Amino acid sequence: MSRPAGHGPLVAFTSLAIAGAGVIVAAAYLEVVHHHLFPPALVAGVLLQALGLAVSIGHLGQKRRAALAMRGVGRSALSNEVLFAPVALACGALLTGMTVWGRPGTTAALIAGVVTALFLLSIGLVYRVGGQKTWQGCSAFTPLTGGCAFGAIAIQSVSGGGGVLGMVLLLVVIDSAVFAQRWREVAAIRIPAASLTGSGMSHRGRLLGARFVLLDVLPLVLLLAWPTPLAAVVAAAGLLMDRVGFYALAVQHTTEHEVAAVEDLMTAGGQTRQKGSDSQPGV
Amino acid sequence: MPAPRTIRTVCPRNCYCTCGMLVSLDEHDRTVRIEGDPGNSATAGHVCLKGLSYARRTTYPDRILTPLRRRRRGNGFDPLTWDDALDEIVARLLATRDAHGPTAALYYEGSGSHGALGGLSMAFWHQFGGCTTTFGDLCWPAGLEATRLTYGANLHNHPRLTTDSRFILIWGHNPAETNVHQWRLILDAQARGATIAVIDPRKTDSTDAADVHLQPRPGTDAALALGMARVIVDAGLHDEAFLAAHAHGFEAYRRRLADYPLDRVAGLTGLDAGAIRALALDYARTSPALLIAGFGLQRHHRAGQTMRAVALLPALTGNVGVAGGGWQYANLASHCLRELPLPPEPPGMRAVPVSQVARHLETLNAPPIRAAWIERGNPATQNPAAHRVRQALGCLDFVVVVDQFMTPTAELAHIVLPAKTLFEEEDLVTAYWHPYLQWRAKILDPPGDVRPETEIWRALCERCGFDTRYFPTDRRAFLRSLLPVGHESAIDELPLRALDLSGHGDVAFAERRFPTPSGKVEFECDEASTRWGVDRVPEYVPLDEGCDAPMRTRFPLQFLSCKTRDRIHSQFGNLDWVRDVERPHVLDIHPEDARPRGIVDGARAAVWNDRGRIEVTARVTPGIRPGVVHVLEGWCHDGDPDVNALTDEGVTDMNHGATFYECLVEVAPA
Amino acid sequence: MSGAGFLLDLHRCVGCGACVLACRIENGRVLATAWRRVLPLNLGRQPAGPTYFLSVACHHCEEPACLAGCPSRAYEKRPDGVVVHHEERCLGCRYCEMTCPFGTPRFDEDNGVVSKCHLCVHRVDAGLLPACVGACPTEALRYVPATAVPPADAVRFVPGFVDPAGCRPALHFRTPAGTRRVELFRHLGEALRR
Repeated sequence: MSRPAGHGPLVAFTSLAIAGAGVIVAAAYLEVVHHHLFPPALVAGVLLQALGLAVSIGHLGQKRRAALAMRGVGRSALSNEVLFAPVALACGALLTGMTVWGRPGTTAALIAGVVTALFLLSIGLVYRVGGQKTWQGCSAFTPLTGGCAFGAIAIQSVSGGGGVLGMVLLLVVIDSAVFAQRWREVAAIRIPAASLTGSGMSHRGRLLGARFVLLDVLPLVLLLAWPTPLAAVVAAAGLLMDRVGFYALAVQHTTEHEVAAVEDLMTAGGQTRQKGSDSQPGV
Repeated sequence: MPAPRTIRTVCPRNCYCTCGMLVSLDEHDRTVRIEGDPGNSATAGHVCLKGLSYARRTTYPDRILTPLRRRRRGNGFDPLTWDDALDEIVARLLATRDAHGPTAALYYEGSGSHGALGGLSMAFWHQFGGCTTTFGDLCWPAGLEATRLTYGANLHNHPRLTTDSRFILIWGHNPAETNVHQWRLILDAQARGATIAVIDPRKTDSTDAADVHLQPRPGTDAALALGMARVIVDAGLHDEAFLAAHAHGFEAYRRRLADYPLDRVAGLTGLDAGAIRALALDYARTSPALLIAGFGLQRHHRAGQTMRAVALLPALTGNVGVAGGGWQYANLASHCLRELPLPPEPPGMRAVPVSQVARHLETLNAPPIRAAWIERGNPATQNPAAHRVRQALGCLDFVVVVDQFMTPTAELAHIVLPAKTLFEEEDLVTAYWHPYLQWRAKILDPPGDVRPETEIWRALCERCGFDTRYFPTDRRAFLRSLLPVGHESAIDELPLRALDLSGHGDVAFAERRFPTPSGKVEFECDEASTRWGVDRVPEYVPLDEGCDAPMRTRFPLQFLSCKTRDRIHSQFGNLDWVRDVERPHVLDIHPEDARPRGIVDGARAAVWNDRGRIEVTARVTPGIRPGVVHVLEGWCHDGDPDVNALTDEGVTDMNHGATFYECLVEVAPA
Repeated sequence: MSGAGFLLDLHRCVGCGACVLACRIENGRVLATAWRRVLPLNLGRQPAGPTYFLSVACHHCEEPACLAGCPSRAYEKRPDGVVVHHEERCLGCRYCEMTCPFGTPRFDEDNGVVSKCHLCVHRVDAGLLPACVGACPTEALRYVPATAVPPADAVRFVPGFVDPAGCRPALHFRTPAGTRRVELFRHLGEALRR
């Protein structure tokens, strides 16, 4: 089992949720700090999050039992995230409603922003599991930093304005720093050849590089020239790349992989495992 | 609705273990549990993965449940009613008999299912006027005869006495895979301090656990045994008292040993002289010592003499008639049933050696074989020169195959009849490792349109106007009548437990009385010469197609095709449950042989000789002796290599066995 | 001292798979979701290491990652240490497939839930052995009840089986015996530590 289960829906759900939440946080930040209101951004953010939530329920084997997912709050990282998702959505929706129909005030925006930021953090923490070598360290923070960077880029790309550009710069720099650290962590991992089957680790440079360019470099370059929706599209691709790369780089430890790693050690020079499949698991 | 119940029965496969089984059914007649019967003290409460797979096998979707007839055009079979099937069979068989005579029909039965009732097929054939059958056996007959000539009978100690051994020498045998209950006992003995030594050109699960492992060139075991004997005698470690009292011809044997000095034997076997010497001395010095020989040791032309040479080592060292000692090859103590009542055998019945079916299908005359009935066997893949068997069967006028699944043999049939499984007819089953006679219970009615073979033969007899009284209506009463005289009441107890009716004790030859002409262990045996034309004293004669054959310039590699624990020959391996856990059938080849040939691990390789050619995935492994290559035998599904395209239709020097392991090949990238 | 678990004698296990089949029969699993599997190590018999087999199912860990991460609290650790999965509370989110570092829980496409070995608690509670243990023809696979102490020579980890996430599996091993295997096993252990 080297691929995380339910690969496709997870990528979709996390991309949508992170994108939407990132937009909300960026918009909330602008409301609190610069008193700029971006109702379309808020609406888009809420819709994206809602869509993500729907997809996440859709990938369950037992959808009718979705509500049970909160029973592990406080103990299970996934349960915490499941709690934060609707709460953040509600805060964002409330803020959106208040913004559309008047001036919400900084408190509402602050609450929505903080709660949604915590939601983004909780997404990252779900995947920090002991059996995954490549999901440690800074990978827990890239949904937050990447989502916020995306949010800022998206807003700037359709509206412009100096304050927003400043926020874009700030968030992109933070995300770059965090992501660079993640890249360093992934590059330092030594994984036995046998465990790499099914994993994208042999393409790690390209996967991480693509994400970095698409989310942190290209949009910024574009936005420094002039505000263009193209930057948002590129950044969205970068966010998707972040998630695709995240799952592609998964190297889950299983007993099968451990056995294969020991086999590699025993065959001279670690050459390719015997294709006679004699180390294949019994099932 | 039937109640949930647990029924005791026995596995009737061609296997040492012949496990007592407890089968539990629920109220829907589904098998919900299969366990070993603790009452059989040899198999001791366990079965093996194959026994467990019966829970899947008996209801497997691919199982044939109706008679089938091959389509006249195109591939495939169509279902047929029993009436139509039997009518056609009778018509075709009678037509063959009218045109060519009764012996134009070949009746071939394999070892696929054991049980006393299997012999009732002859009730039909004798009344039919006879037929051509096979004689000999593909498996073990040379060793049986060698043991009989040496000790007078094929008996050995009760398996549970294994744990009394201090030294267990396993020769040409892989019990970790092919006799797992014996393996458990060997491990128990090892845990108590016994030394385990294995002689095998391959590295197997058995050799991995051993303390000593020798890998001789295949076919040189007679030299090794005589060389070890020479070491033992030179060191004065032979049991003089035992030999004086119980050996016949020891002096002639001793003179023979002069031809087997250690350095010569080391050269012949390809072993280190020091290792041979150490093994011989350890074996002789440790008491009691058990020698377990496998059937692999005797699958070549010099089988009988080889087995005699090895079988004499326990006698040489006085390890006979003692708990924890002995010569262990086959134990026929349970073979005590009376003869089946059959119609008298007609004159002119013909028989061909079972290892030469292809040749005789191709060349027999007066009359040629024109029709065949095959049951409980799969000669199209399992017999030597299997590809020629297939071709020859394909040329016959009429072929009937009785089987549970569409095997390659069944695919050549004109009519396929569905075979029962072990749950579907009662019978008495003997064994060849432990002394128990066991009752195979009827647990379920045969599903679909399946009928046990006894019913098929009865129906055929009816249609031909033959006497059907040979086929029992009351099987229990019939089987009772087969029990040895004085033991008829055992029929009530057998359904409950395994029974030893032999009267032999746990220790074979405990009284040192040997049913040979001399009454002693025969180191020199007249009958070996008069009956089989081999030397009266065992000797090493090189194989025709062995490590010293001239043919090696063209085919330098010795080819072995051994058994896997996943199957009994070509049974079980088609089941999904077994495929899930089975090991791959690859070509084991040593790096020293692979490198010069450009064979890469995991790549396809061609293996060929003058008889045939196969392709198989290579596994380059130090787990085999250089100069030897190996592919598992037992064809079960399309992924399996057809090893018997390479094997020869040879016959062993004694008792009409087969020579599967006397085979030279060459290998190259495919 | 851990709770109930398995003991695998690596010297006695011949990798036959009887345990796998017995589990299937007992627990009615369809082919895709076998709870137990047998992993051969060095079936190619490289001289650098011994050949042995790991029969693994669920290790009923002291700190089960499946239980800690399950959002719906579908896992429960009984007082005797057995970790059971309550299918009626399972969402089929497959998070436990990710968190377990051994590859134990298996998702069943047809039922939409995961499942795993429950140490045959229905048999154990009735005083019987787990099906896999009862079926092992070489008696390599043993059951260690919660109250029992594993043999003194038993070890927690062997080449091919480690605990990367600190779950403390309740699986013990007896290492290979036999003159040659012992040597190879020792060498392999040293090579891994380097």
